[in-house]
Amino acid sequence: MPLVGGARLPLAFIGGGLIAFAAALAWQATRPTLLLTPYLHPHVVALAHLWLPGFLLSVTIGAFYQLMPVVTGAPLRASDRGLWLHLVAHLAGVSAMVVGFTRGRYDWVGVGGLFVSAGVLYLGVVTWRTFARAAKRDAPAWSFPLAAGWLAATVIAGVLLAFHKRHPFLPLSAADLLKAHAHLGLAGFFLTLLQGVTFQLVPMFTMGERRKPRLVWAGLIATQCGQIALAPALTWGWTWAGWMGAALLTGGVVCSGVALVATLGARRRRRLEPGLLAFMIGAVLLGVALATGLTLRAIDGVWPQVVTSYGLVIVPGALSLMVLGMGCKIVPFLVWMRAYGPKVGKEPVPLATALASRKFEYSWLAAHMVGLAVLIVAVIAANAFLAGAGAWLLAAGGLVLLINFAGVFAHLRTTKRKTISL
Amino acid sequence: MKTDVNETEAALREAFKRVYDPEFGVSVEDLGLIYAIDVHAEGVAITMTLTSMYCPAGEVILDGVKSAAEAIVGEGRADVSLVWDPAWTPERLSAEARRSLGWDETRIEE
Repeated sequence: MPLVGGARLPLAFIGGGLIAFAAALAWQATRPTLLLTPYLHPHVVALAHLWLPGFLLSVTIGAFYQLMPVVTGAPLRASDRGLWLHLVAHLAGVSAMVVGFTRGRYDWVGVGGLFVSAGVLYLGVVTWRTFARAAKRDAPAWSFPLAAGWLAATVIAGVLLAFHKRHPFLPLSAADLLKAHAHLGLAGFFLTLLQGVTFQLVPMFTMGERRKPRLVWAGLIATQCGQIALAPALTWGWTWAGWMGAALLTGGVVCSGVALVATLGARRRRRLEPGLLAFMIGAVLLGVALATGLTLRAIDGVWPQVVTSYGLVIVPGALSLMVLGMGCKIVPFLVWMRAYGPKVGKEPVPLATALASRKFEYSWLAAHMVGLAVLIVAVIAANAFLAGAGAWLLAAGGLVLLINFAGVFAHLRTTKRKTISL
Repeated sequence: MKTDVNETEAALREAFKRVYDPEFGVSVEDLGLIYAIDVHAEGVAITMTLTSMYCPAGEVILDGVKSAAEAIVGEGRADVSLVWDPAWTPERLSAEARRSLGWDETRIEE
């Protein structure tokens, strides 16, 4: 497997994302009532940006650059300098956006948004250039350029929204544009990518094989059509297009879900490790989120706390569990490839799976799940005590996971000093 | 001479039991990835496969097999060829590998 930037670049994106994850958990734990405030409050928007472009997008971009050559069978068409500049622009941009929202400095938000957009533009160019030379053009391979396209649409909508809020120039409501921005990012980028790479990663980590490839295609195509209908419907309030988009998205996720269950059934490694378990729980929560989203469309005058709960099911719920679950597999693997790969066959080396602690991973998963459930109840009941308890549980789980990842990363430093026998 | 060949092959197979797939913790020998070992005057030629054409650790495993073989043959040459025909199937897993993967005998035979 070609290690992009010697695996340092993907690990640096992932490391940056994990720092944002830690910051988001710490902020929630110290100010748990933040989640009880309306979701349009600038501090809630800042927190959402710490979770989404800060944590989830950073980790995903790291995995994206590493996985794309594996999935498409083509080397990444990018220079090392360009990739590192993307990392710098992304982390600097997200930091400026989060601080800008927190302090009400929308000029900082604008500059940060431009940095993130420049990075996304670079990612899009690299992705399409690589895809043009792809040896494989199956559904997982197609998910990369499609997701990159949706990510570009997300940042364009975000930048438009930022300018529109400061100097209204569009015949649109900012709230509707915000919905479109959020759905473009969540359903467009993250869902599209997950519908593809899942069918590369799950067989890879379970010694299995992709099953029901037509359903994998159907899922991806339905989601794309659904998103094409849903994004303008949310922006301009087109009811029927909205329903059609939501139905297509649901159908797409059902198709992918059926193919995922069949693919898991074909695995030769029977035991599901905590990372894959977290990934599967996240996939189930994605279904719950879609059902919730459809319900919200059917109800007029939804309470703000229900919308916040919907966001919690998607962001710290489905997406975080899926991304961190795969992180539990990808991070030790990349560290192992860099630290021990060259020594295989020459001296005893540990297994990639031995770099992380299963106990820590199970503890994180349990604390994260309970914390999320408590937090959702707290938001719906508008209960500050429960919000604190949920936020602390999430933070405790996150701390355990971060300690686990720190132990994995430590192998990059200790590998020269000691040899670990099997 | 035949004894030497057999001893070398046995030593190589023993060495390949210490080259592990980093993800599954099963050796390339127990995974059944080594298709053939040809011991000749100049060294050894090993024909092997991977569980998947897109195995992310493929290069590392191939290099590991080559290094392990070089340690056995010393001055001789160790050539490793990767083939996809016949394709690897789970039937090639050893009993030890099946146990390690939590895959019981019944499921393998299905």
